[in-house]
Amino acid sequence: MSGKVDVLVIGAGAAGAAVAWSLADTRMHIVCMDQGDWVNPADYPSTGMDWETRTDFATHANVRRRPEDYPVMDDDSPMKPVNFNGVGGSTILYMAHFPRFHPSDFRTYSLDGVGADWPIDYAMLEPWYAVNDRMMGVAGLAGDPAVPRKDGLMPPVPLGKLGERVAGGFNSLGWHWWPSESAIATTPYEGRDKCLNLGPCSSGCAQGAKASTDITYWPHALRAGVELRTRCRVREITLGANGLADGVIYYDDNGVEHRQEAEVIILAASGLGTPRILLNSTSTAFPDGLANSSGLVGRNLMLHAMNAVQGRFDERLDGYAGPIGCALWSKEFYETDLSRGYARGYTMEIVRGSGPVSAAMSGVMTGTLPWGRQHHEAFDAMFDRSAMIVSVGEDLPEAENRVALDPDHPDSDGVPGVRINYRFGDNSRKMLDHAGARAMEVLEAAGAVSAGPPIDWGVSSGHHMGTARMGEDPATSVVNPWGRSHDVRNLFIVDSSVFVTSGGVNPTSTLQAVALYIADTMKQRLANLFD
Amino acid sequence: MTSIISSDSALPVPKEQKQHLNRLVGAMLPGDETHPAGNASGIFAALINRLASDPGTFLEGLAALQSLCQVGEELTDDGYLARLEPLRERVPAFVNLLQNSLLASYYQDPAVLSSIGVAPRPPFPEGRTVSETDWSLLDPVRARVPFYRDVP
Repeated sequence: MSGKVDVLVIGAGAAGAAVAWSLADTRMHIVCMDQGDWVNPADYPSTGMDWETRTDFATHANVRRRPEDYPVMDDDSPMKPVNFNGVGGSTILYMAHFPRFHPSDFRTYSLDGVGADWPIDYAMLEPWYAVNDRMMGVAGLAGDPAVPRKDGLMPPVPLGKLGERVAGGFNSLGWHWWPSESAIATTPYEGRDKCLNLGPCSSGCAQGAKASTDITYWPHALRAGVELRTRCRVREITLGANGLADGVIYYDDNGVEHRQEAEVIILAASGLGTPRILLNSTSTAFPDGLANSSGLVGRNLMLHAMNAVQGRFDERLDGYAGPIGCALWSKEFYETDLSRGYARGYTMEIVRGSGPVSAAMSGVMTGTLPWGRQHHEAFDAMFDRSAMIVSVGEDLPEAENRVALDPDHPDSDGVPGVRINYRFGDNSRKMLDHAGARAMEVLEAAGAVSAGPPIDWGVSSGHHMGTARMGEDPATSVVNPWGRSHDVRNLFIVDSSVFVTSGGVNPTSTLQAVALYIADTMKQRLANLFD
Repeated sequence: MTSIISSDSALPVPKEQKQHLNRLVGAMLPGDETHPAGNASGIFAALINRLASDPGTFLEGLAALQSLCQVGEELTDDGYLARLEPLRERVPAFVNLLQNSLLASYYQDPAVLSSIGVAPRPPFPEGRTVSETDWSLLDPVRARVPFYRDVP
């Protein structure tokens, strides 16, 4: 064991990096532990001919199977949670979509009678969104009528032929679309070179144009004195006799158990990893998991209700080039219109095409690509001629959707993995039906020779929210409005676990803004942090 | 035909079985004036290496293929292709492995990439080209008034 530290941050991903950087100016002794390691960008798959088939950077932990991963059992869930464990966390593999929540997302109960209101709002987060945008570097175009104005953006990622084709479909229907806001440097930015349109952002950016926190926040945090310890897997947080958390028990790279004491503990281990640690931290005072007097740790899991619709076109679209996830999106159906049969809404995100191996495997699997003499003609008719619309729908918090420990599937140190119980609620089901039909309309309006049907089983989601929600009432929330546990006054949670609702957009920008907001609030209250 | 078998993994694979596999993948992905064949030397070598990563499934599949091909006469390409479905019925895991491995080996080969109009190199460091956008496409959207819900 090393000496007691002032602040221990668990998790070096999107939220952990932001909170560690922000707290560094307090000059406290801050240590961050991550179960994974630094990633060398030279190791990313896009540096080799086999970039499409490497599994060591697969998005699903059970496929990737690195020693630092923990099993995520999701057989019964239509959405498949994906993540990455290491410095940078899931920003290593995210597609870099960087939308903000809308103002209405923080007031779903007041406005629409569904979900719950957040104890904070868009206006409170807006300054932290702006700080985060500067730290990460965001490309986009100001003036979008679907969202509050923001400035300071780098030029947007180009649409390419594929994006222009789909944008034409939106225009012909008179529906909103806008170039995606992307945490991608489209011009040299803070020492990072500009995007080269490699394509597979979701297996890491070898160019360093994509804003993962290992190359954005962490260099600043380390220079400011934060200590980052990799390959340290926290098993549990321990509770002292005074009712405060007093440290953690963790395993090092060799599986040797250690203890680290801390005055303040901050969980930033993601919407899956944070409840995992809390539920595994049992004591006489908290037999059902630390900070869980409400029984809500792990519950209200939101993964977003997503479906995907593919359209096939009669020309090559250069779709395998350019950031795979970031081209354009539509907020036409984002805000509530009860005449559609459901509350809340979704974003339609246009995904570029796949590389040749993925296209061929998909063709063979679906029976559209034959073997034999017809193969080459059929491949030519399908490859690089498709565009996909993924609709990201707001799923409402439901207690039965949850993360639980799975002792039958432990990690390499014997710590239980997680099991996902998740179902689409009635509102989500109706929303997905609406989204699927609208996506087919757009693709057909864009000239697709075929479109659909919508697929909503097996869609990957790196959006893990709600499993330790924030709120004023200890009976209905896990942390207070500034991230402090209602039960344990020196324990904070800063990742997307604290989300009250999910919005209908990718969560990284918002979870980092929340982390910065909590860090700032802590700094303002340092003299009476535990009162 | 044996001359195009250029790779030998560490697995003890009977030559005859490997020849049947070679003919089968040549029938699954026949070459033409534009496209290399699935059993072209570099592609077949890569395929063998991939299959050998699951030796049990590989060897079981090769044995099943050989038994299906022993018909007393040399099979044509169509004859080999016709054995794919019976092979799938006997050893589905092998056919699944074979299909994925063949597609991965084939569509990562530089000559194949060139034949389908893709630059035969990794994405990094040279990158890819995406045409610049004429943002006048956005004019109809820019003309709309803000429509997000403002919250008091």
